[in-house]
Amino acid sequence: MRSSKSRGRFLALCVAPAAILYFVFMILPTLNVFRMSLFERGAYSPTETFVGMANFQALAKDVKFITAMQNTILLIVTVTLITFFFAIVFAAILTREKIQGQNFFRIVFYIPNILSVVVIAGIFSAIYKPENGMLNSILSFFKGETVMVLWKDQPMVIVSVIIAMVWQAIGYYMVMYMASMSAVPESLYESAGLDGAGRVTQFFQLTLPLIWTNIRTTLTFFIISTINMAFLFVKAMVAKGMADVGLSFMYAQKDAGLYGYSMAAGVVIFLFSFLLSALVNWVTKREVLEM
Amino acid sequence: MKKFLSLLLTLALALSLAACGGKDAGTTAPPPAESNGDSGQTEAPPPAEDVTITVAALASGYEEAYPGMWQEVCDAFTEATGVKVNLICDKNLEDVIGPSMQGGDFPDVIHLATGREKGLTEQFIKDRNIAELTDVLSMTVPGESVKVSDKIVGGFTDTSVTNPYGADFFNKATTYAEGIWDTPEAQQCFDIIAKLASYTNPVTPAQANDQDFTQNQQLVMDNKALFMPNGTWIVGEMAEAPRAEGFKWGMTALPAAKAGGNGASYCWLEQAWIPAAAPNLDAAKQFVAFLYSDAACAIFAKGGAVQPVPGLTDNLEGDNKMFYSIYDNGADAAMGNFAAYNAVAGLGTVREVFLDPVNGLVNGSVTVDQWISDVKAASDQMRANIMG
Repeated sequence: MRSSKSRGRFLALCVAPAAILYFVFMILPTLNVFRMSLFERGAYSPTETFVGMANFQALAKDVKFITAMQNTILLIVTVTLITFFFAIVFAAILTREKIQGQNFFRIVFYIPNILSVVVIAGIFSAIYKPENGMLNSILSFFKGETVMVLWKDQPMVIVSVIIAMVWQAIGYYMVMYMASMSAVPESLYESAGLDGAGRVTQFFQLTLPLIWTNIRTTLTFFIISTINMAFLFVKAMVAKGMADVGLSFMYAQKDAGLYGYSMAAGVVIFLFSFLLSALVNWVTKREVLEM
Repeated sequence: MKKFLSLLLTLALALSLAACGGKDAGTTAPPPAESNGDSGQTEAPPPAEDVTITVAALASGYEEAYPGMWQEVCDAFTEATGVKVNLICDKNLEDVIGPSMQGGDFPDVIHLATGREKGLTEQFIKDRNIAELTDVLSMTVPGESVKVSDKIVGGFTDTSVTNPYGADFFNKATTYAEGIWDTPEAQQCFDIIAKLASYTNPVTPAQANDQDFTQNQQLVMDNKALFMPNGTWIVGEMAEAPRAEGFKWGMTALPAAKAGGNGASYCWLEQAWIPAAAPNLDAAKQFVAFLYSDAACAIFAKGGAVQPVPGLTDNLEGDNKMFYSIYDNGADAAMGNFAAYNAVAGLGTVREVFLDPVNGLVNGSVTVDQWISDVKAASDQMRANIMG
């Protein structure tokens, strides 16, 4: 009895620092965001006025906010689909097939992930340059005449952001799937092969179901991080107003001196990402297969 | 374009106190610290030697042209007054000082102009969070025996931010006068800009971002574009860039819209100001006064920044001499900026509504009519919320 009590105290003491820090730096600010969304104030002034739901009503009518959220959703859907398709296919090829220089490819695919977004923006600046840029030069070479696609201008700007984001994300998720794919026992593939299953059938009937838990978890991660990454890429790569996403709208409002309004946008984005991950979690629910 | 370093005085008084005739209000405003009335007149300031002030200055094109410019000014200030200076100099100054200011920790002097994307200075003006600086005018420049007011070229501290500009249109447009965008003059402005948009190199909007804007400037240096609107800092900013053979910088004022009229060139004002919550107000004012000393002016001039001090423009050399000669050749100097208005959800900034759509005119995603009607609607809303 006595020992279990002191044990409990010891455990509480161990957990306390992390719990307190988490409460002070995560929970409190989040609650504060909700509170401030009901007020109007400047970012640097201490005075604030209670405005109730007025900020949210204005948001619903703000064309810029609606466009920004449309861009966010477009980026989440397209970047997620393309990234996951390529990440899973590449992972399957690199684990299941015998290819020369597997490790080389693994490293090459992973490198974009360790680069900072600013560096990536610099690289893509050279790729997308209208005159003598890498992409336009390659297109010109194949077409036989000078191609001048303005990658960072309307209407191609969102495509440019998607390409850069996919390029950045593939490697990380590919390595994740390679890890879980190599955990699938070789004997399963052997017996499937004896039963006459081809490589494609093996992939859909064996590999995919067995790594499904991993895919599900990473999908939720990815969607939440895409909301943030989309902001970083748009901010670093393209002109303001060209392809604004939800978070860039939020920052722009803060810069315009509408702190409460920007917090209201923050609340909407928070709820949006929360509900979206709940939805994804629910949609992807399957019976867990044991190996 | 002229770019002057000047006190925020001009802006603070003209914009946020527009309705109450700045200067009179200024001298009678309750001084936050009781000593500043007299302390300025005496040569040696009362603040103790161990005072350290924090100066936050934007590392602009001038700092790039002459790295260490601000540190040199701060060192010269310490030498003249004994007040130590802790300098924060950064290209993204807002990101460096912003978070700590939100936490209540303010620098003593901030050098950051209005019209930047993050609008930090505007927010301080809107919130009336800047210290009253009128008494700096009667202070003696540290290390010299002249009053600050005697060193500033006339006109720069007048309540009207647009002093020598003849036409009334500029004043009315920047204060969102009713119906101003329906006038024939406004229509002429819209027509000219729409026409210029059709002449603009089509790659320009694709490179109009923080990452690639120098590529647009490069177009001029490669003889692929004839003109660009820019400031005198361009020479320093592009000093290392490759250029077409025989390339030389040139500058002209905007041509007159009517025959016989004067051309005009916008005169950029840098702004230095003191947050109302600055911990060392007296020493901060000393620093602002020192910015007008001959020593500081000479250091700024090395970076190409010109102080509005009598005689300094006479000593310019090279490209700068040519740039500033446009005013001698009859161009008017346009000064001032759009009046501050209370931010309204969904309204957007002047830059977003008036200027950014010009990118859309070039790439065809915005029609001229759409742009004009947006400007009119926004101007009406801004007038309704103008700061009194």
